[in-house]
Amino acid sequence: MLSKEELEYRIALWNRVQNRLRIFFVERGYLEVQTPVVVRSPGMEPNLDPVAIELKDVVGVGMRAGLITSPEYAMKKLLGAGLERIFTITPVFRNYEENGGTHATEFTMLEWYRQKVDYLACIEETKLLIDTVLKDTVAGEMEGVVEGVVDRVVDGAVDGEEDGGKIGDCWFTISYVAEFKNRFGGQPDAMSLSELAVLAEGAGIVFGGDTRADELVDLLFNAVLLPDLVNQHPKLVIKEYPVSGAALAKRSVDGLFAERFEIYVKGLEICNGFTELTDSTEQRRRFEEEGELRRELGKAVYPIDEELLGGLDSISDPTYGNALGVDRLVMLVAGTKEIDAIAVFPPSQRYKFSKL
Amino acid sequence: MASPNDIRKGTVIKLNGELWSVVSFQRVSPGKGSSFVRTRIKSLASGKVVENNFKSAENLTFEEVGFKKMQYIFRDDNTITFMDGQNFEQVALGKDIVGEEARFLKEGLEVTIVMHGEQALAMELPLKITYKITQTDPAIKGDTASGNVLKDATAENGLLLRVPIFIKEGDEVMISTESGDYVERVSR
Repeated sequence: MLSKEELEYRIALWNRVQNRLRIFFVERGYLEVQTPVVVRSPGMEPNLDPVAIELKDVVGVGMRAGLITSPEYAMKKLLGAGLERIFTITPVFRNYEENGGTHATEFTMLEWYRQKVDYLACIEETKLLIDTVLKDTVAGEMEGVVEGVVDRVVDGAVDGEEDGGKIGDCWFTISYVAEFKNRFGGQPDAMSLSELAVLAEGAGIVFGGDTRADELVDLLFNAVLLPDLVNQHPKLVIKEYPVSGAALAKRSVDGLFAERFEIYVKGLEICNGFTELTDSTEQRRRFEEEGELRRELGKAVYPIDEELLGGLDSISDPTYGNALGVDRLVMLVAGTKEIDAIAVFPPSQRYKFSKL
Repeated sequence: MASPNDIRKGTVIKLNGELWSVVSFQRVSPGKGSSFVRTRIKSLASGKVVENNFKSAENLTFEEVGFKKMQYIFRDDNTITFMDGQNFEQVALGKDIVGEEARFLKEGLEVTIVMHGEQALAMELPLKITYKITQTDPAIKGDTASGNVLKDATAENGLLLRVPIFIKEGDEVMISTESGDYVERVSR
C-alpha cells in the first residue's frame, strides 16, 4: 500500500476533480444517474474488447455477460425514455489494455448527454468543463478537502490569473477530414484501399494484407498527423471524422464526415463526443456490420441490445453525447502522464498475468 | 511468429530480408481506432535508423537475441560501460545508442543489455527506478507559480525531477523511466 500521506494527496485530488465535475453538471441542469456495469450486451465496437464474465442465477443457471466498455447503451435508453440532460461517473473495463502509463483495464468514465443540441455545442461545453476543472482544482477553489496535505497543495498553487500559460493555453480546432486531405491529397472516405496502402507504406506503416481501408485511414492519421498536431497545440479539438470511423455518430448533412470530435490536452486523449445517431434502422445496420467484423476477427459477438434500438427513435435529433476519461483529467491536474502516480490503487500493481 | 505488442528495446526484427534492432518504441492505443506500435529501428547491417509504425494485429519475425542483467559502472566521453555481476565481464554501449535514457543511470543500477551474439545492441531500463532526493525546497506559498501541484527536485545522480510538494529531502521516490514522471514515494 501507499503511505498515508501519499494516499491523502491522491484521494484529495480525486475528490476535488469529481466534486467540481458534479457541480458543473448540476449547475447546468443535468441529472446524475447510475448505470449497470454487468450487462448482456457490453458493446460491439471492433477495436474494443469487453471483459467477459459468466453470471449465475439463484439455482446456478449460467449466462455469458460482460463488463461495460462505456455506459453509452444504458444512457441512451434513459434518453429514449425522455430524460433530456443526464451524466454519469462510472467504472468501465477494457481487455487487452496495458496497466500503467496512460492506460488501465479498469478506469473511470464521465459520460453525459443532452438532447436538442449538436456536437458543436458539446465541444464548447467540454472546453469550458476542462478549463473549469483545471482552473478551480489547481487554483484551490475547493480548499480543505483533506486537512494538512491539501491545504499545502492549495496554498502553493496559483490563482487563475497567473497560471503561467498552463491553463491559459488557447484552444485550437482542426477538421480530421480537411487535415487528412491537405496532407494526403484526398477525402479519406473516397480513397481506395490501394491508394491508402501506397500512402501507408510511404509513411513507414507496417501492416498485413487483410488490413481494411478504415484501419489505414486511422493509422495514417494517428501515426503520421497526430503527433505533430498535439505537439503544436496543447489544447486540441479534432472534429469532423471520416464516415468510416463514425461508430455511434451521426453523418453530416452533406455526407462528407461524421459529427464526432476528440479532445487532446498536452498530448493526452481526454474525450470522444458525437452528435448521436438516433436512427434505429441505421444503428441496427452498423451493429450487424460490426458483429460480422467481430466474428471475422475471432472476437466474442454479444447480442444486439434490442431495448436500446427500441428507444433510439424517440431521442431528439440532434442529441449530443461525450465520454471523458476522469483518470486522465486527474493526471492533468496532477501534472503527470502516469496513471500509477494518481491512482489510489495503482493499476500496474493490481493484477498478475501469466502465460497460459 | 511474434506480435508487434511483444516488441521491446533491442528486439531484432526481420523485415524485408534485413535485420533491424528496436532503438525505441511506444504502444499507441486510441480510445477508438486501431492500435499500433511506433518504433525507431536501426539496421544491423548499415546502422541506418528509420521510423516505423507496426499495426498491432500483425505477425512479425523476431531474430533470437539474448537478454543479460548487468550493472552500470561508468561512462566516458563516448561510451557507457556495464558489468555482469556473476563473471565480471564488461560490455560498452555507445552514448548515441543509449541516448537520453543515460540520465536515469546511477551507480550499480541493474539494467538489461540486449546481446546479438557477442554484440551489445541496446540497454533496457527497469520500468521504474527508485532515487533518493538530495535537493528540494520546502513548499511555500506561491511556490508553484507554474500552476500545478509539483515542484523541482534533484535526485542522487543529478537527475532533475518534478515531485509532489509533500516530498522532502532524503525521501526516496519511484520514477517512471518511460515518462520521467514521479510515480510514488517509497514507504519507509
